[in-house]
Amino acid sequence: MIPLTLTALFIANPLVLHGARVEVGDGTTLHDATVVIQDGRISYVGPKRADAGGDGGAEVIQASGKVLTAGLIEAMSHLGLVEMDLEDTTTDFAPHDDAILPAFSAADGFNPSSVLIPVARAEGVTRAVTSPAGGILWGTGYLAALTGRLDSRPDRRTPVAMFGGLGTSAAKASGGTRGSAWMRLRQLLADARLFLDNRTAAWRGQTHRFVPSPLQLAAMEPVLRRALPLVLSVHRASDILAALDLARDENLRIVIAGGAESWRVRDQLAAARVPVILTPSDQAPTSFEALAARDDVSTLLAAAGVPVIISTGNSNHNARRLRQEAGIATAHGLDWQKALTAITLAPAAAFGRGDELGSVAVGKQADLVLWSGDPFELQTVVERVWIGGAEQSLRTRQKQLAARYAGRKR
Amino acid sequence: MHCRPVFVPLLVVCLCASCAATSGTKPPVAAPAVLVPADPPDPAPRSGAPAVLIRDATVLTAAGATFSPGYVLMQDGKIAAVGGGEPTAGAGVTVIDGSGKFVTPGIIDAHSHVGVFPMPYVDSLHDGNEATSPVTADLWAEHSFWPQDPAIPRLVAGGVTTVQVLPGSANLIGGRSFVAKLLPAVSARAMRFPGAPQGLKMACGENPKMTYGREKSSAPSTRMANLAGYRKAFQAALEYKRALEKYGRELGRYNAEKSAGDTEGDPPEPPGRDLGHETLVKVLNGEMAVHFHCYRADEMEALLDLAKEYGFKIRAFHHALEAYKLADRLAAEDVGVATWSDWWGFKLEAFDGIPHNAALVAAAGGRTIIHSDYPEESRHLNQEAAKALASGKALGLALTEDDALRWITTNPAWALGIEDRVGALTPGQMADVVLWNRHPFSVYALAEKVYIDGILAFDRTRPEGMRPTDFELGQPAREDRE
Repeated sequence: MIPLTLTALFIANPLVLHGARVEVGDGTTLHDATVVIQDGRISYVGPKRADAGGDGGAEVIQASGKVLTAGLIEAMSHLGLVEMDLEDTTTDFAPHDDAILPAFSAADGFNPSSVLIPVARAEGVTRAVTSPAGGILWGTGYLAALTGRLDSRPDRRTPVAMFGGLGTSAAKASGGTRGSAWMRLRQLLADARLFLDNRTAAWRGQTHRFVPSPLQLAAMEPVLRRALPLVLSVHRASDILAALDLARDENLRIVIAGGAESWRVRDQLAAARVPVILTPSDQAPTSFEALAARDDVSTLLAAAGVPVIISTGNSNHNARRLRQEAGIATAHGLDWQKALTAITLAPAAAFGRGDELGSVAVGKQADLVLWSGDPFELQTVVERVWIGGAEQSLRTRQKQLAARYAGRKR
Repeated sequence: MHCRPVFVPLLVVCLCASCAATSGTKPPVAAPAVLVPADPPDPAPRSGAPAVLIRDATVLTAAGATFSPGYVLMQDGKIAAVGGGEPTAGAGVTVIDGSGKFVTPGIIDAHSHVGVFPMPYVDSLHDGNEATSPVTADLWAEHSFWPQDPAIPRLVAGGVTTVQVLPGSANLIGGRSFVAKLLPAVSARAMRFPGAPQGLKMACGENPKMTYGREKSSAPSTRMANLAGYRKAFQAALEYKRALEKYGRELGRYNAEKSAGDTEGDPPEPPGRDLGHETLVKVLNGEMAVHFHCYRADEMEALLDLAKEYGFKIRAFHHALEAYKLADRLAAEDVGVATWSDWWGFKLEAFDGIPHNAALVAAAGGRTIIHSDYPEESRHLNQEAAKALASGKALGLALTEDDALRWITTNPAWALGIEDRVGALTPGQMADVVLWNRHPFSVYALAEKVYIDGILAFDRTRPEGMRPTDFELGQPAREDRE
C-alpha cells in the first residue's frame, strides 16, 4: 500500500546520475554507476549507461567521485511533534492523560513546517519515524517524508507501528513496579481481543466493562493481527526476554528499541527475528537497566544475525547525527555496509516499507542523497537530496542565521 | 596561571599586603584560629611513570607543528621531547610503534559534570545542583564528586585526560569548580589537578529563573531578577572585601603600635567569616576565573557589562550558542566561548544555536572551546571538533586542523588556567598523551592508548578493555571478560 502522501511527491522530469559510487543499502556497492529516476521512482541502477536519459528533457548529473545512497531513515523521533523540548506548547508527543493510549496517533499533531525538519534533511535524513512517548502503550507512529511541505502530513490511516515501553519508565507510569506495567499491558491485550471478537455484545453491554474506551481497544486490532509491529522500549536483558515471551504468547511482531543490554540475549533475538533499534554513542550504564551497556553492541548483534537499526534515539534536533552514529558503530566494529543498511533498508523493512524505501533499487521511491564522500565521515557534506524524486532544498534556518552574522565586519 | 599561593588562606593574603605596606619587614601575623585554608590541598605528587617513546606516528601538537613521522618521549610524567624523524631512545624506554597512527595531547573538557551528576542517573547520586538557594558561592563541586562514576573510564577511553567539573546551572552562582585528572583514585582530592585553580560557576537565563520562579515561586523568576541577583551578591562581596581590607589596615596599625610599645589595647576584631563572600572576593581580586553558563548574545552582553561594573573578568561563556552574534566583542575582550558543535533548540534560549558558532567565533579571533556538558558527548569531543571545523569550512572560513585541535586542548587549558601545564605536546608539559588508531577527526578513530602524567590510563589493545569503576565490578557488561 502506498500512502497518498507519497504519490503526491512524484515529479515528471527524468533525472540521470552518472559516475557515482552507489552504496545500494543492501550490502552491495556499484562503482561508476548510472542511476535513472523517472516519475519519482528509480527506473535504472547499474553499470554506466551513457545513453540513459539521452533523449533530452532529462536532467543529467555528473557525479564522479561522489557517493550516492538512499535517503537516511531515522527510526526513532518526534520530528514534527516538537519544536523546543522545554516549551510545553511546542511539544505534542507525550500525552499525560493515561499510561495506555493505543489510539493516540502521532499523525494528528504532526507539523510539517517544523524548522527541525530541514535541519535533518540537509544532513541526508529523508524520512523519519515520528512517534509518541511515555507510559506503557504510547500510540501509533508514522514514517514521515521530510519534505517540509504541508502535503507531507502522514495519513493517519497508515501508521507504521504501535509504540510502547516496558521497564523503569513504564513501571513509574503504573505504580512503580515492572509487574504492574506488565499486568496492565496483558489486561489491555485480553480486553482488546475480547472486544474485537465481540464488538456487538460489547456495545450492548453484554461483556464485562472495559476500562479502556472502545476507541483504544479498536486501535489494538492491527497489532493483534500482526499487521503492525509493536515497538517496545526496553533495555535490561531480562526485560527483553520478557518482551520476547510476550511476543510468542500473544503472537505479536515486536521490535526492541533502546536495547542497551540486547547483546546479552542476541541469540534469542536472532531466533525470533526481532530487530533492535539502538544509539551507538549512547552505550553506557546511564541507568540501572543499562548496566551492561557496551560500545560494541551493534557489532555483537549483527554477528548473531539480529537486524540492527541505528537511530539518534529521539534526539530530534540532532537527527542529523544519524550518519555520525553509523560511523561510531563502524568504529566499534560493525561492518560499514551493515551500518549503512542500519540507517536505510533496515528501518524501512522493520516498519513495513522495505519494498518502497531504503535502498537504491529499481522500482523504489527515489529518496536519494548525493554525498561529497564517505557519508559517515565528519568532513563529508551533503550535496543534493531527493525525496520521491523531487529535489529538496538544503536551506535551513540555521544557515540563514549563519549568513546573517558571518557577513559582519571583522 | 593565576598567582595563587596554595594553602594560604585568603585573609592572610590580605594581611600580608597590608602588613607589608605598614610594617616593613615584619613577618605576617598568623591567621586567627577560626580561619582554615580557603584553597584545597593538592594530592601527593605522582611518581613512577615509566619512560615511553611513541615513534613513527603523525604527531599533532596543538602548538602549530605537525610531525609526520614524528615522536613523543615521555619521562617522569612529563613530555621530554617531541619532534620529527628518528628519535633516540635511551635504555629502559618502552618504545611504542605509532606507524599509521596519530598522537595528540590529552583532550580537556572544560565543562563536565562527571562525578556530580554520575551514572547511573538517579536522584541519590544527583549532587550537582543545590537548588535550594540561587546564590551558593560557598559550595565546592569536589565535595559532591563521586570518583566511582562509571563515566570516568569511558571519558578516558575517548581520549579525555582532564576535566573541569562544574556545579549545575540551577543557581545564579553555583559554586566552585573542580579540575580533575582522570586517573582512578578513591577521592576527589586524590584526583585533583595539582595546582589547578578553582573556577566559579555562574548561570544566566532560563535555568535559574525557571528553577526558582516556576518551580518554587521565589526569586529569581525573571531575567531582570537574575541580573539583580548577581549584583546583590557582588555588592555584598565588595563590602566584605572592604571590611577585610579595613581590618587589615587596623591590624597592621595595631601591630606596628604594639611592636613600638605604644598600645596596650586589644587587637581589632576580624569581620565574621563568610564563605560565599570569600569565593566572590577571589573573583573580584582576579584570583578565580568565572565560567558563565549563558546562551543568548544579549544576555552575554549584559553580563560583560555587569563584570565591568564590579571590576572582574568573565573567563568564558559556556554553551554560548549565540556567541556568533557577539563574536567581535568576545574576541576583543578575550572571553572564551565553550560550546557544542551542533546542539540547539532544546529550549527557547537555545533556538538560535547553529553548527557554525564555534568556527565563527574562532574566525573572529576568539577562543573557541568545544565542551560536552554530558558524558556521552565528552566521549567523542574529537568528532565534535571535527564537525565544527567542517561547518566553518562550509562557510569558507580559513581554519586549520590545528585550530580545531586547540578547541579541545590548549583553549580549554587556557580557560582553566592550566595552559602552561597541559594542552599541547611541548617539552615540559605533563605527559597527557593520546595515541589514536586513525586521524582523530575521522569518525572511525578510537583512542588506542591514553597516558595521564605518563601513566597508561587506558589501553584498547588489552583484552579486558577499560578499567571498571568499583561500582561496575561484577556487573554483567563484563561477564565475558572476568
